[in-house]
Amino acid sequence: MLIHQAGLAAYYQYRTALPGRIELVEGSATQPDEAGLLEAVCLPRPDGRLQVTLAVDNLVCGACVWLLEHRLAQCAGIAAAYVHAASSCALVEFDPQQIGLNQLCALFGTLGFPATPMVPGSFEPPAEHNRPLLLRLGIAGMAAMQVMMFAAVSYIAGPDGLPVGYRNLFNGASLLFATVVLLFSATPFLAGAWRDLQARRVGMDVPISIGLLGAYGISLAHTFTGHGVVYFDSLTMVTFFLLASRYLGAAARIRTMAQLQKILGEKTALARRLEGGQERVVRPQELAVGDTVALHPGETLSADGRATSGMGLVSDAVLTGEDTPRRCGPGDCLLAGARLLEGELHILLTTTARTARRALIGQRAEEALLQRTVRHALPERIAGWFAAGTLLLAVLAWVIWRGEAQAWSAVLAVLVGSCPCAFALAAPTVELAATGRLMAIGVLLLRPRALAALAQARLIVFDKTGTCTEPVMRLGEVHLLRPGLDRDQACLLAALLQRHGEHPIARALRWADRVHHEQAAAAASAITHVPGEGVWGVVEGKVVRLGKASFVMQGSKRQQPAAIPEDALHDRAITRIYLGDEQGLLAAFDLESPLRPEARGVMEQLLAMGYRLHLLSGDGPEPVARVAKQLGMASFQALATPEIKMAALRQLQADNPGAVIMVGDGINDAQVLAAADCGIALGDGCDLAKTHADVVLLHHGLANVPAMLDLARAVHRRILQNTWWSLAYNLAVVPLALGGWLTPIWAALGMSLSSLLVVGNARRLPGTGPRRQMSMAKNPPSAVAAASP
Amino acid sequence: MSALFFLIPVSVVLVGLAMGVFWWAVRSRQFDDLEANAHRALMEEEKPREPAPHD
Repeated sequence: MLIHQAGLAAYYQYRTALPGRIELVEGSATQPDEAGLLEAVCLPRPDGRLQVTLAVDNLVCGACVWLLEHRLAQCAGIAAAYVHAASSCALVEFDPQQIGLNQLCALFGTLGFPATPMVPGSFEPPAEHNRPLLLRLGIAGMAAMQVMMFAAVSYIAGPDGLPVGYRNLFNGASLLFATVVLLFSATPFLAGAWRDLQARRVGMDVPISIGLLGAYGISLAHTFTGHGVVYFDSLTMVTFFLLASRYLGAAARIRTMAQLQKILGEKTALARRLEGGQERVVRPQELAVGDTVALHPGETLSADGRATSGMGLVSDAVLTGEDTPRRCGPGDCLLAGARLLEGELHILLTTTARTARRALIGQRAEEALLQRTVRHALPERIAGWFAAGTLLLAVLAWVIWRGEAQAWSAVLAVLVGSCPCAFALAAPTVELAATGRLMAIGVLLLRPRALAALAQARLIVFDKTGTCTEPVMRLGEVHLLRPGLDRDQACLLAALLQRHGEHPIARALRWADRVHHEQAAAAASAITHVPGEGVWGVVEGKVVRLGKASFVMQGSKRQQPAAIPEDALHDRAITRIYLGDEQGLLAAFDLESPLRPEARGVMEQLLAMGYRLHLLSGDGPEPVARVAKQLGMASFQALATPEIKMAALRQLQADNPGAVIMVGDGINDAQVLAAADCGIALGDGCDLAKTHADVVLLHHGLANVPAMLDLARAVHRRILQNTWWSLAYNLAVVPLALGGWLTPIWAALGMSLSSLLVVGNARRLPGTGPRRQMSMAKNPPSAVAAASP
Repeated sequence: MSALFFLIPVSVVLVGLAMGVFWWAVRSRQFDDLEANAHRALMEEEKPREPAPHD
């Protein structure tokens, strides 16, 4: 409706992707901006206007950009608006006298694109990093074309075939362009070489720089003396092609970064710090340990802390994937990323925004991008030797051709032709492209090293609870084993013990007793989790244990057989856990865990792809056997504690020559996930599992596993192709250059083309399109609220 | 042939201009978001109507 009123109906004609469910946001347009808000998020401009970056949701295609920019242009007080779809942000310049920041955000909200101001410096559109490189590339390209044109004349006429006047004219013009290229475009190589020399190592930039400077020096001398060959053409072309391959590599990384930022939702929220009883809006970076912040409904906490006053309903969905909100009051711990749904809370911070637990997973993902350079330390080391060898070969060429006219040409050809650029780009470009592809389907590749393991794996080990089954368990029957105890009391005790657990069993128990344990006067203290066994704690002075029968019986003074036969549980999806105290068993809970809806289909696909599947669970033999049977898994192991899981994994790794993939979700899987050749954590699993895994499946449960494995195999093939190609190229070219058959220009062309081929090959990865559409179809875009005219 | 002594410097100046234009284009973010800009080129032909009075 709003869109039609504003005369922007053409949006419907232009849009290429349907937005997901769009909720119109009722703006707080009438409210004035809070104290400190403008200072915290806006950058003042010299003309008195303010500039703000907004994180914009629901930006799905170019049409949204068009719509927003047109609507903003119609609005009084907005001087300029620039919407960037790839990174979901908008840069707006506005006049604070005419329009408030709240009004501005409300305007975005009424169009169906909720916007929140971002703190300056917390986010840069990724393209910013690439801009200088693009400039260098473009300038080098134009210069190279001109210089090649001049050089072509002397190629045709021969080095001394031109009249001196023309020769000087062409050489002078070429010198001009080559100087621009050397001083502007080639600075990354020169700077890199300088760094390498200072660090006393020989990287790729050293031979490149020696080649460039050598060519420039010789050509300069020849230009002024008026005879001899000039190499300005080689110089500019080498620089252009080298920059081109670097630019493509960087572009791949930028796309990955943009998608990463989109998925992590790392949109910095502002904080309201209490200063002398008054709330003041501050940037999260300014928060210190010991500050008290206020949280209003709809706001997200920016650091970890403990509630001091107030009461509210908090969603940890971002952190744990758990949709069920929990009620928080004084004393409760909250983690950064927790969102307040109702009420109001004051929170004493125990960390800063930077040290908060949420920051860790973000760092993991950032690391994965940085790690790429660390990780390919090995190819880079080889490249270093490569470079040293190149220098030796160049000296050899000099010795062979000493005194001849061709000497410099041969040396240059060796330096340029044996440049291991393509070799060094072989793996990282493919990995980067794959990271981006995977992100598009909601698979976060935290450690690219995992790709090789994914591609080579033949065996996939699955955890059961929360991985093959739904993360949310349901409480079925409660068997009371002690006279005088009623169902509510038993549930309350269990829920108190499991108050902070993230395990599905804990959630089911909390959920079953969501009313009572929140209001209960009693609280469990000294809660201790024994991974794989259960949990014990002290309630009203008594030690209460919850978990496996054997674990609960350990705490009992009286020996007592498990009171109820478990035979009847075999054919139903039931896990039974026991509650007991020092006097013996109190109750048994039957927890039902339905299979994930996609699990069966995924397993069928995996089996068809030739993988062997294994189920490894801490659960009892019967439910594990049943799930294994339902999912068509050939082997399984039950009753596995984290230690047993580790041992089992080691054994599987020893028995299977290929890599072993582990898929899990819980705290008890964290260690196995880290130890497996590739650990895959589920997005709705616990944080510890996610931070220990190589890959996180952000949504659709297991549905993306086959697509991910397909892609990993393709990636592996590409990396091998790239490596072999680049090695073969270098080996073939060096003898030619040493023999003087290869001129520097052809060496440059060959080397650059081989680099481009490698980068192009990386971009040629098969799409994940069809599967993506499949998974999208599960959440069909609902009717767009704004679409009704 | 002697026209070259005039034409070559002219070509150098022209390339210099082209580089300047490229510099400006990159600086003014024209290459940052190629996808949205591709759409923009198609959409600009139709100017939006004036907003309705009650908007």
